[in-house]
Amino acid sequence: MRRDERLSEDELRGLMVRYQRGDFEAVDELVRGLSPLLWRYLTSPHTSRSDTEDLLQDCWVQIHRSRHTYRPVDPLLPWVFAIARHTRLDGYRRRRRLESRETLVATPPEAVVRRDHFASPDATRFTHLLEKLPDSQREVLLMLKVSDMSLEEVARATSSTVGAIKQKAHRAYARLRDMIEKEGK
Amino acid sequence: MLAEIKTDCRLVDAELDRQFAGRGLQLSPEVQKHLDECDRCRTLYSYLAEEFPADTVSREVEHQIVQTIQGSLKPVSRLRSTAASAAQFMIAFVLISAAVVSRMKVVGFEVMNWQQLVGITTILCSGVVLLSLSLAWQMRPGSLRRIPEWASVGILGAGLVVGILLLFPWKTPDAFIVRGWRCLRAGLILAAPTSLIFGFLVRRGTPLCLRLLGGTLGAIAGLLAVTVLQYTCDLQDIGHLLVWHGGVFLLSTLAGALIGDCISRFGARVR
Repeated sequence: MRRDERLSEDELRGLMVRYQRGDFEAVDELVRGLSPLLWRYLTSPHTSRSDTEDLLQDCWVQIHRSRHTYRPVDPLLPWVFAIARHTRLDGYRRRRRLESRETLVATPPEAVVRRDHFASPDATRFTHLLEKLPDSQREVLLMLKVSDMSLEEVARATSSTVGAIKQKAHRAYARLRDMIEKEGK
Repeated sequence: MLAEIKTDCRLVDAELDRQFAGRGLQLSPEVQKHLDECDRCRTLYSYLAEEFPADTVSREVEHQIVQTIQGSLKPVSRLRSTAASAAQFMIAFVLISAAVVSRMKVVGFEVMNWQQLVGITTILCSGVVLLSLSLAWQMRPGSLRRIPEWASVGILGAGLVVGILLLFPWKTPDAFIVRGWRCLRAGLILAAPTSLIFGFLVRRGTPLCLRLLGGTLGAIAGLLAVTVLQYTCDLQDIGHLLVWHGGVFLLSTLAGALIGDCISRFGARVR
């Protein structure tokens, strides 16, 4: 989904309010409008496609349970991403626990197939660089870049402060510059 | 080892901050000049300006999600605002502490001079406001935290220590352990049910980190116990206040965080 195809913040808020009132159509539009953003956020090089689908479903269940906590005066994306972030951390812990107990008896599930062939070479290169960043820095850049959130919105989504988010973003830029320089040599 | 960041490269960082804060895409002449000169900044900037490759969710998964949600869709009443939730915690705090203090002898008032009374009351009131706001923020995902949760508890703890050191005298301990233990025990006995009351008030929210929530609930319950002890205890010296009254706050905060952590781990296992 390209930036100009996305629903605007006002449209999303309107859908969320209708969802809180129990409107069936709003659920459909909201799920279709937000799922691609959530999918991109929940995808990681360490998760299979089926794991990411499970995470997305868990995330929506949590959004559904918490829908009464959203207030239309606040932006919607930070609220959604705060829940998504929690779901992702929860999923990561659960997966680690399971992995520590399980023995591999079959072929591992397919990894998430990226549609990199639709993207420009620069975008693909950047995606690979992003994957080398520490989780907390990658998360901040993903929210800023992919979800098109502002610094304040990312601070809200990560239960942090604008200053801390700026600091993480600056560290990420420094690392990326370093990687770009190494790749160039 | 990260490559050295030149001062001019920081201009690009600041420019990106400005753009991510939603304040326009127009580059300043200094940044444009630096981008023309610095390869790595130019590449970084172009990467960040690039449209991201978009993965798509399968229609089938989206359909399943829609069906699941629609299966249990009902209208909901919204959670009250952050200010209203915080006010609710403050009112509960004042009512509970007033009810407990009114049933005891308020010897603390008689022992403290007016500077001590005003100073410690100001610190306690600021603590109630800080922790009430922190609880209200935690109830709603995506709230903008002016102060992080751990910092609220830290600021309050530091404020109590500094306040006690500045306001109260040092006296030779008289039955330090026996009388102190009495205060600690009474404080913890009061903090335990109080934390349950505050927990009951939080129940409609969606706290995302139970360890932090537990710690904050423990801290506000501990603060209530410290408030009651402050106005009802006749030992108002640094040693007693720091070790025994401060101990109530510290132990209830730690116990709350530990219980929150256990619940979150147990919940994850059950799921």
